[in-house]
Amino acid sequence: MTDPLTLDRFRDLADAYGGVMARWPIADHAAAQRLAATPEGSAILDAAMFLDERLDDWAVAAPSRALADRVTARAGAGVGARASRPGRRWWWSGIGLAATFAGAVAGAAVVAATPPVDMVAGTTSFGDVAGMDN
Amino acid sequence: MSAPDPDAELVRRIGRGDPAATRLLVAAKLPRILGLATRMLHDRAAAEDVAQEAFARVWRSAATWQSDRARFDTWLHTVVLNLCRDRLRRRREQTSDTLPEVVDPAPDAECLMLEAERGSQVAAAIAQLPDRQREAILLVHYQDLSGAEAARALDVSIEALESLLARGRRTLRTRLVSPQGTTTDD
Repeated sequence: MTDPLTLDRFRDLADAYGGVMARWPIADHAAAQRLAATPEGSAILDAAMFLDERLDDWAVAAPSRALADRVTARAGAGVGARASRPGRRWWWSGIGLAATFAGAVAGAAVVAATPPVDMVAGTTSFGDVAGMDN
Repeated sequence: MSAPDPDAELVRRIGRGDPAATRLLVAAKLPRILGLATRMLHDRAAAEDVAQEAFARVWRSAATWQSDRARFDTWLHTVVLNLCRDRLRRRREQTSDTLPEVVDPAPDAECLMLEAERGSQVAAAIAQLPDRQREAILLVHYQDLSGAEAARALDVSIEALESLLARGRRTLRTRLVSPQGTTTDD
């Protein structure tokens, strides 16, 4: 299972992840460090690091305190909004029946006018990116 | 994959309504999330809206969060990516009505003026990459996601991710770094 790390693969990893080996797959770290000590490996890392440093020129300002406060403030109302409450399920089901009929008509119009939700709780959705490779 | 999710306990505490955990999560994740959204959208106000919406989804999901389904950080990055993609898609649709020649999202002039000159060059070069290459670079270089996490967030194999990264970095090298190793300054 432990294939030796060739210089070609070492170069591929540097081409993909850059010159900071902390970003490389953990399984390759030990062998990569040995290759990095060779002149060839060192030159590959230096070239990759040069681009890394150039990319690091693009800094983004930290969030403001006001934004952090706004985000935190919404937590109180939002936490557990989707959690089920076993003792109240009968109550919700009664309301749900009525709401289902009432909402069906309005819901059809809303769904037609609302952009698709791209994420639901605990799951991921990638359908919108299929075929966007390149 | 089998390593424990370092955020799982924090999310569980948030689900139980622990305000200290909420503040900790915001302090830990908001800068990363805002950074990703800003680099995706090149629009600070829109990025802040995305960050707020992403956290609103966290608050709604915390009580029912299942750590065995995905690492929280990967899931959160996926939420932000999808919110940003949705905005970019709408921006493209609106732009295409008036400016049919524009295809790729470009950093708005006002934002670029606020960024440092060298950073602006990098931002512009990354904005011109194909979508998936750009997202791969943002996730691995700027967000420090592991290859496995980034691949999962983009729903591609590790091999495909490495290909996206390598192609993106190759293009950036030609645009930002001269063959002699000196930077280009127009």
